[in-house]
Amino acid sequence: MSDASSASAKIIEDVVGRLFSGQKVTPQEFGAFVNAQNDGATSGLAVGAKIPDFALLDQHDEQRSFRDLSGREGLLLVFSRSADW
Amino acid sequence: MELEHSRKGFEEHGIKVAAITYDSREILHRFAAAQHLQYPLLSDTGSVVIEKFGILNPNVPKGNKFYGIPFPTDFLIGPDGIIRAKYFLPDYQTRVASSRILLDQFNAAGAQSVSIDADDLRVTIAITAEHSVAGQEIGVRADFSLASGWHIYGRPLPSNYTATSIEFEADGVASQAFEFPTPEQVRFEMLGETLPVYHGDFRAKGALLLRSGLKPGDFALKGKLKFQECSAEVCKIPQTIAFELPIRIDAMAPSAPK
Repeated sequence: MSDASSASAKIIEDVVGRLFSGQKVTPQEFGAFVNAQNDGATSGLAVGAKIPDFALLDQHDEQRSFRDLSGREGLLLVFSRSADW
Repeated sequence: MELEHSRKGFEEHGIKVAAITYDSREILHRFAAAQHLQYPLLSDTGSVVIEKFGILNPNVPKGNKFYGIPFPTDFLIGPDGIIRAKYFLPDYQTRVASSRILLDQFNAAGAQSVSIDADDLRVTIAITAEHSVAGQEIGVRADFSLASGWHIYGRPLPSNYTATSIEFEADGVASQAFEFPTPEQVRFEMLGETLPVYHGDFRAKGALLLRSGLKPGDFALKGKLKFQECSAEVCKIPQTIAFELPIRIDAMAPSAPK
Protein backbone atom coordinates (compact mmCIF):
# COMPACT_ATOMS: atom_id res chain seq x y z
CA MET A 1 0.00 0.00 0.00
CA SER A 2 1.49 3.38 -1.01
CA ASP A 3 2.10 6.10 1.55
CA ALA A 4 -0.77 8.21 0.17
CA SER A 5 -3.31 5.44 0.36
CA SER A 6 -2.23 4.27 3.81
CA ALA A 7 -2.55 7.87 5.00
CA SER A 8 -6.04 7.92 3.46
CA ALA A 9 -6.86 4.62 5.17
CA LYS A 10 -5.79 6.03 8.55
CA ILE A 11 -8.00 9.08 8.17
CA ILE A 12 -10.94 6.89 7.17
CA GLU A 13 -10.39 4.49 10.11
CA ASP A 14 -10.17 7.35 12.57
CA VAL A 15 -13.23 9.26 11.37
CA VAL A 16 -15.43 6.17 10.89
CA GLY A 17 -14.56 5.01 14.40
CA ARG A 18 -15.53 8.34 15.89
CA LEU A 19 -18.72 8.71 13.85
CA PHE A 20 -20.02 5.30 14.81
CA SER A 21 -19.25 5.80 18.48
CA GLY A 22 -21.18 9.06 18.47
CA GLN A 23 -18.15 11.32 18.86
CA LYS A 24 -18.02 14.70 17.20
CA VAL A 25 -16.12 15.26 13.98
CA THR A 26 -15.24 18.78 12.89
CA PRO A 27 -16.14 19.95 9.38
CA GLN A 28 -12.41 20.06 8.50
CA GLU A 29 -11.97 16.45 9.61
CA PHE A 30 -15.01 15.43 7.62
CA GLY A 31 -13.58 17.23 4.58
CA ALA A 32 -10.32 15.32 4.97
CA PHE A 33 -12.34 12.10 5.32
CA VAL A 34 -14.16 12.79 2.04
CA ASN A 35 -10.87 13.58 0.27
CA ALA A 36 -9.36 10.37 1.65
CA GLN A 37 -12.25 8.40 0.15
CA ASN A 38 -11.80 10.13 -3.20
CA ASP A 39 -8.07 9.33 -3.39
CA GLY A 40 -7.40 7.71 -6.79
CA ALA A 41 -11.07 7.81 -7.76
CA THR A 42 -11.93 5.81 -10.83
CA SER A 43 -15.12 5.47 -12.88
CA GLY A 44 -14.80 1.79 -13.74
CA LEU A 45 -15.95 0.01 -16.90
CA ALA A 46 -15.68 2.10 -20.04
CA VAL A 47 -18.52 3.44 -22.15
CA GLY A 48 -18.99 0.88 -24.93
CA ALA A 49 -18.10 -2.05 -22.68
CA LYS A 50 -20.54 -4.87 -22.01
CA ILE A 51 -21.66 -5.09 -18.41
CA PRO A 52 -20.90 -8.30 -16.48
CA ASP A 53 -23.73 -10.71 -15.65
CA PHE A 54 -25.12 -10.33 -12.17
CA ALA A 55 -27.98 -11.68 -10.05
CA LEU A 56 -28.82 -9.83 -6.84
CA LEU A 57 -31.69 -9.79 -4.37
CA ASP A 58 -33.77 -6.64 -4.27
CA GLN A 59 -35.55 -5.13 -1.24
CA HIS A 60 -38.51 -7.53 -1.80
CA ASP A 61 -36.24 -10.59 -1.64
CA GLU A 62 -36.57 -11.21 -5.38
CA GLN A 63 -33.65 -12.25 -7.54
CA ARG A 64 -32.97 -9.62 -10.20
CA SER A 65 -30.69 -9.68 -13.21
CA PHE A 66 -30.08 -7.17 -15.98
CA ARG A 67 -32.61 -8.79 -18.34
CA ASP A 68 -35.55 -8.25 -15.99
CA LEU A 69 -34.38 -4.88 -14.68
CA SER A 70 -33.89 -3.33 -18.10
CA GLY A 71 -36.62 -1.39 -19.87
CA ARG A 72 -37.23 -1.35 -23.61
CA GLU A 73 -34.47 1.25 -23.99
CA GLY A 74 -32.20 0.15 -21.16
CA LEU A 75 -31.43 0.72 -17.50
CA LEU A 76 -29.97 3.51 -15.36
CA LEU A 77 -27.99 1.69 -12.66
CA VAL A 78 -27.07 3.97 -9.77
CA PHE A 79 -24.22 2.84 -7.51
CA SER A 80 -24.51 4.54 -4.12
CA ARG A 81 -22.41 4.22 -1.01
CA SER A 82 -25.09 3.15 1.46
CA ALA A 83 -28.74 3.47 2.32
CA ASP A 84 -27.83 3.13 5.98
CA TRP A 85 -25.71 6.27 6.48
CA MET B 1 -35.04 10.64 -2.91
CA GLU B 2 -34.03 12.26 -6.14
CA LEU B 3 -34.01 9.13 -8.28
CA GLU B 4 -37.65 8.41 -7.40
CA HIS B 5 -38.51 11.86 -8.62
CA SER B 6 -36.82 11.31 -12.00
CA ARG B 7 -37.99 7.74 -12.43
CA LYS B 8 -41.16 8.55 -14.37
CA GLY B 9 -39.23 10.75 -16.78
CA PHE B 10 -36.86 7.88 -17.56
CA GLU B 11 -39.70 5.36 -17.90
CA GLU B 12 -41.43 7.59 -20.42
CA HIS B 13 -38.33 7.03 -22.55
CA GLY B 14 -38.34 3.28 -21.98
CA ILE B 15 -35.54 3.32 -19.42
CA LYS B 16 -35.95 1.70 -16.04
CA VAL B 17 -33.92 2.66 -12.99
CA ALA B 18 -32.35 0.65 -10.19
CA ALA B 19 -30.02 1.45 -7.32
CA ILE B 20 -27.33 -0.81 -5.91
CA THR B 21 -25.47 -0.67 -2.58
CA TYR B 22 -23.60 -3.11 -0.40
CA ASP B 23 -26.34 -2.98 2.23
CA SER B 24 -28.29 -6.06 3.28
CA ARG B 25 -31.73 -6.69 1.86
CA GLU B 26 -33.23 -5.79 5.25
CA ILE B 27 -31.58 -2.38 5.30
CA LEU B 28 -32.68 -1.68 1.71
CA HIS B 29 -36.22 -2.83 2.47
CA ARG B 30 -36.45 -0.48 5.46
CA PHE B 31 -34.93 2.42 3.51
CA ALA B 32 -37.17 1.91 0.46
CA ALA B 33 -40.28 1.72 2.64
CA ALA B 34 -39.34 4.84 4.61
CA GLN B 35 -38.63 6.83 1.44
CA HIS B 36 -41.55 5.38 -0.58
CA LEU B 37 -39.24 4.22 -3.36
CA GLN B 38 -40.80 2.40 -6.29
CA TYR B 39 -37.66 1.17 -8.01
CA PRO B 40 -35.51 -1.90 -7.24
CA LEU B 41 -32.73 -1.51 -4.69
CA LEU B 42 -30.20 -4.28 -5.20
CA SER B 43 -28.26 -5.78 -2.33
CA ASP B 44 -24.65 -6.28 -3.32
CA THR B 45 -23.39 -7.59 0.02
CA GLY B 46 -19.70 -8.33 -0.32
CA SER B 47 -19.49 -5.70 -3.09
CA VAL B 48 -19.03 -8.37 -5.76
CA VAL B 49 -20.87 -6.45 -8.49
CA ILE B 50 -19.32 -3.15 -7.34
CA GLU B 51 -15.93 -4.75 -7.95
CA LYS B 52 -17.00 -6.22 -11.31
CA PHE B 53 -17.96 -2.74 -12.49
CA GLY B 54 -14.48 -1.52 -11.50
CA ILE B 55 -15.58 1.07 -8.95
CA LEU B 56 -14.66 -0.47 -5.61
CA ASN B 57 -13.04 2.20 -3.42
CA PRO B 58 -9.62 0.81 -2.39
CA ASN B 59 -8.95 3.53 0.18
CA VAL B 60 -11.17 1.96 2.80
CA PRO B 61 -9.33 -0.93 4.45
CA LYS B 62 -10.86 -4.36 5.06
CA GLY B 63 -12.34 -4.60 8.53
CA ASN B 64 -13.45 -0.98 8.37
CA LYS B 65 -17.20 -0.43 8.59
CA PHE B 66 -17.21 1.32 5.22
CA TYR B 67 -15.19 -1.35 3.40
CA GLY B 68 -16.73 -2.19 0.05
CA ILE B 69 -18.17 1.23 -0.83
CA PRO B 70 -18.02 2.21 -4.48
CA PHE B 71 -16.98 5.48 -6.07
CA PRO B 72 -20.54 6.71 -6.65
CA THR B 73 -21.24 6.25 -10.36
CA ASP B 74 -24.36 6.05 -12.52
CA PHE B 75 -24.25 3.75 -15.55
CA LEU B 76 -26.73 4.25 -18.38
CA ILE B 77 -26.92 0.80 -20.04
CA GLY B 78 -28.59 0.00 -23.37
CA PRO B 79 -30.99 -2.97 -23.71
CA ASP B 80 -28.08 -4.93 -25.24
CA GLY B 81 -26.09 -4.62 -22.00
CA ILE B 82 -23.63 -2.13 -23.47
CA ILE B 83 -22.76 0.93 -21.37
CA ARG B 84 -24.00 4.00 -23.22
CA ALA B 85 -23.00 6.67 -20.74
CA LYS B 86 -21.50 7.13 -17.30
CA TYR B 87 -22.14 9.89 -14.81
CA PHE B 88 -19.60 10.64 -12.13
CA LEU B 89 -17.60 13.64 -11.14
CA PRO B 90 -13.92 13.62 -10.27
CA ASP B 91 -14.16 15.05 -6.80
CA TYR B 92 -17.11 12.89 -5.67
CA GLN B 93 -18.42 15.67 -3.49
CA THR B 94 -20.41 16.67 -6.53
CA ARG B 95 -23.31 14.41 -7.37
CA VAL B 96 -24.91 14.50 -10.75
CA ALA B 97 -28.61 15.02 -10.21
CA SER B 98 -30.58 12.43 -12.20
CA SER B 99 -32.75 15.29 -13.45
CA ARG B 100 -29.66 16.49 -15.25
CA ILE B 101 -29.17 13.05 -16.77
CA LEU B 102 -32.78 13.21 -17.95
CA LEU B 103 -32.25 16.56 -19.63
CA ASP B 104 -28.85 15.55 -20.95
CA GLN B 105 -30.07 12.38 -22.59
CA PHE B 106 -33.52 13.35 -23.75
CA ASN B 107 -33.83 17.12 -23.85
CA ALA B 108 -36.85 16.54 -21.65
CA ALA B 109 -38.17 20.08 -21.69
CA GLY B 110 -40.91 19.52 -19.10
CA ALA B 111 -41.45 22.72 -17.19
CA GLN B 112 -38.77 25.35 -16.98
CA SER B 113 -37.99 24.18 -13.52
CA VAL B 114 -35.82 21.48 -12.06
CA SER B 115 -36.22 19.88 -8.64
CA ILE B 116 -33.25 18.65 -6.73
CA ASP B 117 -33.77 16.30 -3.81
CA ALA B 118 -30.96 15.95 -1.32
CA ASP B 119 -31.14 13.99 1.91
CA ASP B 120 -33.06 16.53 3.95
CA LEU B 121 -33.92 19.24 1.55
CA ARG B 122 -35.60 19.81 -1.74
CA VAL B 123 -34.78 22.73 -4.02
CA THR B 124 -36.86 23.72 -7.02
CA ILE B 125 -35.10 26.11 -9.36
CA ALA B 126 -37.17 27.84 -12.02
CA ILE B 127 -36.45 30.40 -14.68
CA THR B 128 -39.21 32.81 -15.44
CA ALA B 129 -39.04 32.62 -19.21
CA GLU B 130 -39.64 29.68 -21.50
CA HIS B 131 -37.83 31.49 -24.28
CA SER B 132 -35.77 34.61 -24.54
CA VAL B 133 -33.18 36.27 -26.76
CA ALA B 134 -29.42 36.53 -26.44
CA GLY B 135 -28.33 39.34 -24.17
CA GLN B 136 -31.65 39.42 -22.29
CA GLU B 137 -32.11 39.35 -18.57
CA ILE B 138 -34.40 36.65 -17.16
CA GLY B 139 -35.57 35.94 -13.65
CA VAL B 140 -34.67 32.89 -11.58
CA ARG B 141 -36.11 31.68 -8.35
CA ALA B 142 -35.08 28.87 -6.06
CA ASP B 143 -37.53 27.46 -3.54
CA PHE B 144 -35.89 25.60 -0.68
CA SER B 145 -37.70 23.22 1.65
CA LEU B 146 -35.74 21.72 4.53
CA ALA B 147 -36.73 18.78 6.69
CA SER B 148 -37.36 19.61 10.32
CA GLY B 149 -34.21 19.69 12.42
CA TRP B 150 -31.91 20.49 9.48
CA HIS B 151 -30.48 23.80 8.38
CA ILE B 152 -28.17 25.18 5.72
CA TYR B 153 -25.98 28.24 5.91
CA GLY B 154 -26.16 31.86 4.82
CA ARG B 155 -23.43 34.45 4.90
CA PRO B 156 -21.11 35.63 6.33
CA LEU B 157 -19.61 32.32 7.46
CA PRO B 158 -16.37 31.03 8.95
CA SER B 159 -14.30 29.37 6.21
CA ASN B 160 -14.77 25.82 7.48
CA TYR B 161 -18.47 25.90 6.58
CA THR B 162 -20.09 26.01 3.17
CA ALA B 163 -22.62 28.74 2.47
CA THR B 164 -25.61 28.10 0.25
CA SER B 165 -25.15 29.30 -3.30
CA ILE B 166 -26.46 28.86 -6.81
CA GLU B 167 -24.21 29.69 -9.71
CA PHE B 168 -24.93 29.42 -13.42
CA GLU B 169 -22.13 28.65 -15.85
CA ALA B 170 -20.45 31.21 -18.04
CA ASP B 171 -21.24 29.45 -21.32
CA GLY B 172 -24.83 30.65 -21.01
CA VAL B 173 -24.77 33.53 -18.60
CA ALA B 174 -22.79 36.78 -18.83
CA SER B 175 -23.66 37.88 -15.32
CA GLN B 176 -25.94 36.81 -12.49
CA ALA B 177 -27.07 38.00 -9.12
CA PHE B 178 -28.90 36.06 -6.43
CA GLU B 179 -30.66 37.48 -3.46
CA PHE B 180 -31.08 35.21 -0.46
CA PRO B 181 -33.34 36.21 2.42
CA THR B 182 -31.72 37.37 5.63
CA PRO B 183 -30.62 34.27 7.53
CA GLU B 184 -31.43 33.71 11.16
CA GLN B 185 -28.52 34.03 13.57
CA VAL B 186 -28.56 30.90 15.72
CA ARG B 187 -26.33 30.11 18.65
CA PHE B 188 -24.89 26.57 18.60
CA GLU B 189 -23.87 25.80 22.17
CA MET B 190 -21.92 22.65 21.30
CA LEU B 191 -19.79 24.57 18.83
CA GLY B 192 -19.60 27.78 20.82
CA GLU B 193 -20.52 29.68 17.65
CA THR B 194 -23.36 31.82 16.34
CA LEU B 195 -24.02 31.11 12.69
CA PRO B 196 -26.36 32.45 9.98
CA VAL B 197 -28.80 29.66 9.05
CA TYR B 198 -31.84 28.87 6.93
CA HIS B 199 -34.41 26.30 7.95
CA GLY B 200 -37.92 25.33 6.86
CA ASP B 201 -39.10 26.85 3.57
CA PHE B 202 -37.64 29.91 1.91
CA ARG B 203 -37.08 31.42 -1.50
CA ALA B 204 -34.08 32.99 -3.16
CA LYS B 205 -34.54 35.21 -6.19
CA GLY B 206 -32.13 36.20 -8.87
CA ALA B 207 -31.54 37.52 -12.32
CA LEU B 208 -29.46 36.10 -15.13
CA LEU B 209 -28.10 38.09 -18.04
CA LEU B 210 -27.98 35.68 -20.98
CA ARG B 211 -24.76 35.82 -22.96
CA SER B 212 -25.12 38.00 -26.04
CA GLY B 213 -23.41 35.40 -28.25
CA LEU B 214 -26.07 32.70 -27.71
CA LYS B 215 -27.34 31.24 -30.99
CA PRO B 216 -31.07 30.75 -31.64
CA GLY B 217 -32.33 27.30 -30.70
CA ASP B 218 -32.57 25.18 -27.61
CA PHE B 219 -30.02 25.88 -24.93
CA ALA B 220 -29.35 24.18 -21.60
CA LEU B 221 -28.53 26.63 -18.84
CA LYS B 222 -26.17 24.77 -16.55
CA GLY B 223 -25.65 25.61 -12.92
CA LYS B 224 -24.42 24.30 -9.60
CA LEU B 225 -26.19 24.33 -6.27
CA LYS B 226 -23.84 24.29 -3.26
CA PHE B 227 -24.88 23.80 0.33
CA GLN B 228 -24.06 22.07 3.58
CA GLU B 229 -26.76 20.42 5.69
CA CYS B 230 -26.31 20.40 9.45
CA SER B 231 -28.50 19.46 12.37
CA ALA B 232 -27.84 20.49 15.95
CA GLU B 233 -25.65 17.39 16.32
CA VAL B 234 -23.97 16.66 13.02
CA CYS B 235 -22.88 18.17 9.73
CA LYS B 236 -23.07 16.34 6.44
CA ILE B 237 -20.42 16.88 3.81
CA PRO B 238 -20.83 20.02 1.71
CA GLN B 239 -22.52 19.14 -1.54
CA THR B 240 -22.40 20.53 -5.03
CA ILE B 241 -25.24 19.38 -7.26
CA ALA B 242 -25.16 20.16 -10.97
CA PHE B 243 -28.45 20.94 -12.67
CA GLU B 244 -29.73 22.12 -16.04
CA LEU B 245 -32.64 24.26 -17.15
CA PRO B 246 -33.73 24.34 -20.78
CA ILE B 247 -34.48 27.61 -22.52
CA ARG B 248 -35.24 28.41 -26.13
CA ILE B 249 -33.28 31.27 -27.62
CA ASP B 250 -35.28 33.13 -30.27
CA ALA B 251 -33.70 34.86 -33.22
CA MET B 252 -33.67 38.61 -32.74
CA ALA B 253 -36.00 40.64 -34.96
CA PRO B 254 -33.95 43.17 -36.95
CA SER B 255 -35.46 46.18 -35.21
CA ALA B 256 -35.79 44.65 -31.72
CA PRO B 257 -34.19 46.75 -28.97
CA LYS B 258 -31.43 45.05 -26.94
